[in-house]
Amino acid sequence: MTNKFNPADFTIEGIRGMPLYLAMQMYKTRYADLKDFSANVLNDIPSEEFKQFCSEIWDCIVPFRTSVEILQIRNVEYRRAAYSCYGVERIFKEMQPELANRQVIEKKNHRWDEKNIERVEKIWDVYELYKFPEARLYPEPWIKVSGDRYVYMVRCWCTSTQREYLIYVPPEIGRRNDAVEAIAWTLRLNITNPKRLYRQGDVLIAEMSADSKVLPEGNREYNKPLTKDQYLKLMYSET
Amino acid sequence: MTKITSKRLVVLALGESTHTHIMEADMEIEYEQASDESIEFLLSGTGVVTHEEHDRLILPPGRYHKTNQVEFNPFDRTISRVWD
Repeated sequence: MTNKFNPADFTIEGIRGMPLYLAMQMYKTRYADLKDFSANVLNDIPSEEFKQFCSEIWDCIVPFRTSVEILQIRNVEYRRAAYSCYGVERIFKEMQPELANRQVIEKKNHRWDEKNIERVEKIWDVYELYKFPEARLYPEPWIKVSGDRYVYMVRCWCTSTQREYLIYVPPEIGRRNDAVEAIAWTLRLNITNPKRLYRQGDVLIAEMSADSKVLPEGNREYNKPLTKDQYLKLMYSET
Repeated sequence: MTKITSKRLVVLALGESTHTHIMEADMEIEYEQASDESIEFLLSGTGVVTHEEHDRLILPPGRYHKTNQVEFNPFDRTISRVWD
């Protein structure tokens, strides 16, 4: 059986262009059987040929069966889609993570409408830092584990899509037990003295001040993580 | 270091799927791309950054520097770009 369908035809959890097998794995994780999948997904697809194709390959698809499989997905969007299908609560039940820190930050977030008219919204951003027992994340004996007892993940929600993300941070950051510092660590600067910060998903744009300098690759300050203070005080807009 | 280029539309980041962060301006954007993750640009006019799913950003004239979010990989203990 060959697949002649364009990867861009598959959309799951808002992600277009997902590889067919991965998309079907996610659907099979979410839906109990082909009948359920057909009722919720295939019935909305106009192409009879595509419906037939998906129905034929259904039995060959292996769904995600454990939290570990999902937490090992490298692409953060694919990981998000997978744990949405699997169920975040189910992952938390299986992994039994410990909430190390939770912070709710009140922010003034700047947004623009389609006519580029600016408005200011008051938002409450929630950040949670979790410790996952290392042994639960590395069940395979052939994976060499570090000496750290825990793997740390910061849980946050996108302010424009409301999607939930689990992002790994290193143990030395996690051990500080500060969820905002952990999310700040994931954002990087290659300039000195930023004036203002803008964030759109995984992209950070720093507005330079008059005395900002661009740091060359190799400089020890290159790709420096944001500090918690920079994250809280300089972020003008997050979408 | 790559040379400075001028355009009215610059792709700031491509996702692994089909998502793209695109910046457009009403005047030429001068930009210098050191790597996929590091772009410096100068806006003489207003810049509009759009994405298929996230809300737009409006940037006033000025100098900017763009980077990408990163994530720790607990399996090989490396730091790599967050792909969306």
